[in-house]
This record gives sequence, structure tokens and C-alpha cells, in this order.
Amino acid sequence: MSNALISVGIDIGTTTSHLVVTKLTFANSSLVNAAPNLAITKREVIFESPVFLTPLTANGEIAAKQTADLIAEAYDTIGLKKSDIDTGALIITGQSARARNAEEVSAHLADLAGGFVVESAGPHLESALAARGSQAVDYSCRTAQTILNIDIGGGTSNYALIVNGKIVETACLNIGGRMLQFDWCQNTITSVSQSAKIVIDDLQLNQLKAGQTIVIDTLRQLAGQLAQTILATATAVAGVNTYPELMLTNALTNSQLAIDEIWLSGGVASVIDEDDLTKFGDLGVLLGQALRQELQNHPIKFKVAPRAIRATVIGAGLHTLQLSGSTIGFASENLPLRNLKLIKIDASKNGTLSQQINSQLQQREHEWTKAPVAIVLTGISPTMLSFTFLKQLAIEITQSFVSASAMDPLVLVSEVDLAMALNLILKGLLTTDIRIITVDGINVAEGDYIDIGRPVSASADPNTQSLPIVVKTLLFYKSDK
Amino acid sequence: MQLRIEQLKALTPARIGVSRSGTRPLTATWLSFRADHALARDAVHSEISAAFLNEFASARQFPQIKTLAESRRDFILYPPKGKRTEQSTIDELTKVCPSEIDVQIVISDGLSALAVEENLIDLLPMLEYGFALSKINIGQIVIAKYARVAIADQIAHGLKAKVALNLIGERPGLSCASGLSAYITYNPGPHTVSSDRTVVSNIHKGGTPPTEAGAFIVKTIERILDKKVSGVKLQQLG
Repeated sequence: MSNALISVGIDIGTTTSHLVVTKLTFANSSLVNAAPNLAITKREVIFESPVFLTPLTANGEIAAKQTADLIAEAYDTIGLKKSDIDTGALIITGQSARARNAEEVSAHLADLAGGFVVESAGPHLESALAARGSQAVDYSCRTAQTILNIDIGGGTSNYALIVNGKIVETACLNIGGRMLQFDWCQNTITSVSQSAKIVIDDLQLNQLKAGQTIVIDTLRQLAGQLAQTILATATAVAGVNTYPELMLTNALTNSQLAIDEIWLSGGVASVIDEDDLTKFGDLGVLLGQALRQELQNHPIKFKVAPRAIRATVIGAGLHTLQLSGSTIGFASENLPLRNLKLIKIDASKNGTLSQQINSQLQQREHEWTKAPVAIVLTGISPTMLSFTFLKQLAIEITQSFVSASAMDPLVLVSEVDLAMALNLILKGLLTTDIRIITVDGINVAEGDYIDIGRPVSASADPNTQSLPIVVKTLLFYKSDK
Repeated sequence: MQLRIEQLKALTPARIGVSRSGTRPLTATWLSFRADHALARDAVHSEISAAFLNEFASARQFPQIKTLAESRRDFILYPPKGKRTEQSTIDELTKVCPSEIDVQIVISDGLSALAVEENLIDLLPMLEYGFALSKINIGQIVIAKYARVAIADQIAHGLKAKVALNLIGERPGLSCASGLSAYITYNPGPHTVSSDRTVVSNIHKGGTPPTEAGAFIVKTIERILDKKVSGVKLQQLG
């Protein structure tokens, strides 16, 4: 039996798009003779496509068909077939996530990406993926350092603060290399983004308008201000003017934490040592240079991540998938399940579970009679897992499920080890035609939706299989401000 | 790097990064080692408490038997005595226990009576619930004192059960004195050797929780009854 999953990550960005194909190897990580537990033991990138410019239509939307064709071409080059792909993530990042046709794009691409690819975007997820893909998370875990990863792309700068290998906070600022676009042959500015105008007005650089001639010194002044803003926003440097209106999320609240190193990833980070300003038709190289200058005088040490431009997509390919525990409950004919809404309840509060489920359903505007949900059991510690506790939990959930005439399968997700026990107890309480899926070992601290894939296993024993799980944030971009 | 050591220490109950004073451990380290060692020794020498037996076994009329060992001390000093019981004991059991059942459950003190007391309260109800749901007949549960793994094979053989399930206290370590193991034998009898047994070990609150272990044991026995093998032969199926 195969003990690897092929995962593809596709990143459709504001400026550039690309894909990586990765291999996730898993094995039993339990002690000999203890109950089994599959874990991902190795993550490797086996293919990186060239980076291409995201095709845009005249009115600035992503050209869905052309983009899909480019991805299909990349598949052909390496002989990758849809059927080879087990899982993956399609992410539409940066400002392009706000392009009006993001859904159309994902519809075109979902077909290319096998049965189990996710469409997701949003500044927090993006920041986290970039920090994982840049290896800043790994590095922080190995060295116990506090790292701030800043992924600076075409449209946005994504922050992730990592303490001891854990991402503790993420944020996103609307500054990127594509804020200004140029025609170097004509020596003119071709476009200025809304967010750039805010900074330009503040600095009174009135000559920076579409159609005007390029003046390098003025551009350097703008780039310098932008670079300062990027760093000041993250590290709360006193006396530097920041632009709260450019934040796409809440600002970092832990900025007073002692940061050991700043890691840079993203397209702008990859051109930080570039001298040719005209290499791309935008502000990218100038912003990169300004950042380098700021950082050389900055008290905190900095580093450009290996494969900086690919950080987000590598993160998407390697790190969106979790494997559930191996003692769980499901019937494989019911899988895969996609886009289940997560309903989070505090399972330690006996007697209130029905109430909690109902208020969550209402809050999320979900009609349980029409579509199943995944109930996330939080608040449980391993010492609470008595038979009496689990039975009470199962009884309350069953009552809630039955009285709501809810749509099956009944899906329950937990971080602590209880899924196989809970599954057995629920089977005894519900009629046999109700499908029940229980998984554990899954962290859903952040996330709104869940996809559950078909089972994987390192042996032929049906009792020791794991389910690949992808927890997603909002399907399409929505500001949390 | 102080922080890093704290992190590593949090990952394991083992005694790492405990520092030293000259060539000797720190007093605090030494005392905690002595305390844990005493707990482990106590677990080995302890008997299943009368309170537990009264509340748990007598109330549910579980027959209690003894092995060839006369006392806890005899059991510790002459381990083979814990593997068998007198034929007369088996004969007595056949009078009070149903035979020709699917699974014969034996609860053994093994090397930690504490493990039995701490885990069975959640493990046994889960097993009973799961076996009932899977329509697996478990007959009458037997409690064995001064017992080792093989005792369940003799009892299950005597009662003509298809599967022997021994829930037995594990040898205590310095970080956990209450680990329980489940040894499962298909077609148990005098011919049974260690490789015939499937084991689910490390059952305790800090390992596999007893409830989850119970469900896993039920599913594993379902498979064993279906495949008609256990132990290494079961593993060889893949």
C-alpha cells in the first residue's frame, strides 16, 4: 500500500502565478504495540513550474481560461495527470483575491486540480502559508527563535509572527511591488493603485500620476516610505508614520515581542539584490532596494528566504493538509466530503450542547436539514475522556441532530483522541441508516470550512486508517476589519 | 538556549536536562527520582484494593481466581507461577461462567494493580458497549490475582472461548506506574506462544485513553474473529 500523497499547490497572484507539486510521505509514528497513529514524516517539493505573469483582461480581472491553459501546460510538461493528484490547494492571493471573478477562476481550475483541491484565499491564511513555505516556521522550531516572516508580493505584504515554531499572529498590509506600474520604453507611469495614492498624497508627491514621466528620485522617495511603513507596521517603530487605512486585517498586537530575525519572502524579496530597475514594469525592484537599505540599518537581523518568491505556493502544497488520528470512525463510500461548514462548540459544558449548536447554526445562517455540517468539539482535555463523559456528549449531540431532522452524515472533529470511541457510542444511539464520521488529531483553531478526503493507510488493517483533512478559511476574501 | 531545553523537557516525561551538582544530581532531582521509584515499587507490590474489588467486581459478580502463586511475594519471586492456575479452579469457573463464547475477558493485576484500578472504570464500559453493539458475546468477566499474560489463555481454553482478552497491569516505569495492556489471543490453549498474541499497550490517561483503547480493542477483535488469526499472523496480513 502506498504511503505517500501527491499534493499540488497553485498560486494565482496579483502579478505572477505558478505551481508546485509536492510529495507527502506518511508512516506510523506510534510506539510498537501501541494504538497506531499515522503522521506526515517527510514533505518534499518534486516539481516547480516556471513563474508566469498572471493573464489579466482589459478591465483588470484574471483571464480565467488563459490561466487554466497555462496550468494545464505545466501539467503536460511533467506528464502529471489529474488522477495522480491526491490533494492540493489552489489559492488566489493578494489583491487578485478581490478580483470580481475569483469564483470563475477557481471553477476553471478546480477541474484541473483533481478531485480534492481547495479554493481558498484570505490574508491570514496567506500569511501563514508563506511563513511555512519560506521555512521560517521550521527554522523557528529548530532554533527556538522568534521570527517575523514578511511576504511581500505584488499587492500585499503578509506578516506572520512565529514563536518557537508556532505562528502566533498574522496580519496583512496593502503594500506591494505592483502599486505603481511603468512603461520603461516610454518612460511613463501607466497606473497608480488606490493604496499607493494614500501614501503619495501624504508625501505630496503630486507628480506621481498615471501618464506622467518617470522621475527616479521621486520614486525612490515613495519606495523608501513604503519600505519604512512595511517594517514600522510590524515592529512598532516609534516616530514612523504608518497608514492604518492600508491594513487589510487588524495590526499585529504582539509587536512588542522581541523579534530575533526578520525573514523576507515573496516576489519583492526575491529582487532585493536586483540592480536593474527596469527588469519588471512595476515598483518591485525599487521597493526591494529600499527595503534592503532600511534593513541594513535596522537593529533586527534579516534574511531572504530560500526560494522566496515561491514561499506561499510551497506552503500551500506542503502544509494545508493534516492527517487525522488513526483510530477514527467513517465509511469510505461517504468520502470525500467538501466544503463542510464548521460549527464550533465547547464540549466541556454539559447540558448546553444543543443550545450551542443551534446558536452557531443560526449565526452561520446554516440550514442543517439541507446540508451537513462538521461539529468541532473544543474544550476537552485528555483527562476528561471518561466513558460517562463521552456517552453524555454523544447523547446530547444525537438529540440535537435528531430534533433538527439534520442532514447526514453527522461529522464530528476533535483534537483529542476520542474519535473511535465516540463513533461506537453514536452508532449505538442513532439508527443504522445515519452515516457518522468522527475524526480526531485535527487542529481547527483557525478555519471555517473543512474538506475530508478518502482514507490513507500504511497497512491493510481497516482499523488503522487516517483521513486527509484540509481546514480552510473563508472561501473568498473578506476583510476582518 | 535555556528556553530550548524547557521546550524539549516539555515533550517527554523522561528525566532530561535535570542538571547536576558536582558529580551528583540536584537534591530536587534525586528526591523526585526516589519518589517515582517508590511509586513503581509500590505498584509492583500492591494488591488490587478491597474497595475496588467490592465496588467493581463483587457488585457485578465477577468470579475471582488465584494463580499457582500463594502470595504477591511468591508471584514476584517465582514468575512462572503467575502463568497458570489449578485445574480445579478452571473446573469451578466452568460451573459459573458460560462457555463456547466469542471473547473471554480476564482482568489481571500483573505488575501494576494500580493500572487495573485506574483504567478499567472507563475501559470496561467501553468494551461492554462496543461488544454488545457488534453482537460479540463476552460471557462472564473473570478477575485473576497474581496473574501474568498466559493465564487468560488457560481460562479461555477451559471455557472454549474463541478469543482470550487479558487486561493486565504493565511493568511500571519511572514516569508511569498505571499503564495497562490488552493481550488478545485467537484460539487460545496450551499451544499458545507469545507471537500468537496481539497487544494494545500503553493504555492510560497520558497514553491511549482507556475509552479510545476500548473502541480500538473491539474493532481489532472484530477483525481477529473475521480473519481467524491473531498476533504476528494478523500483522502479516498487512
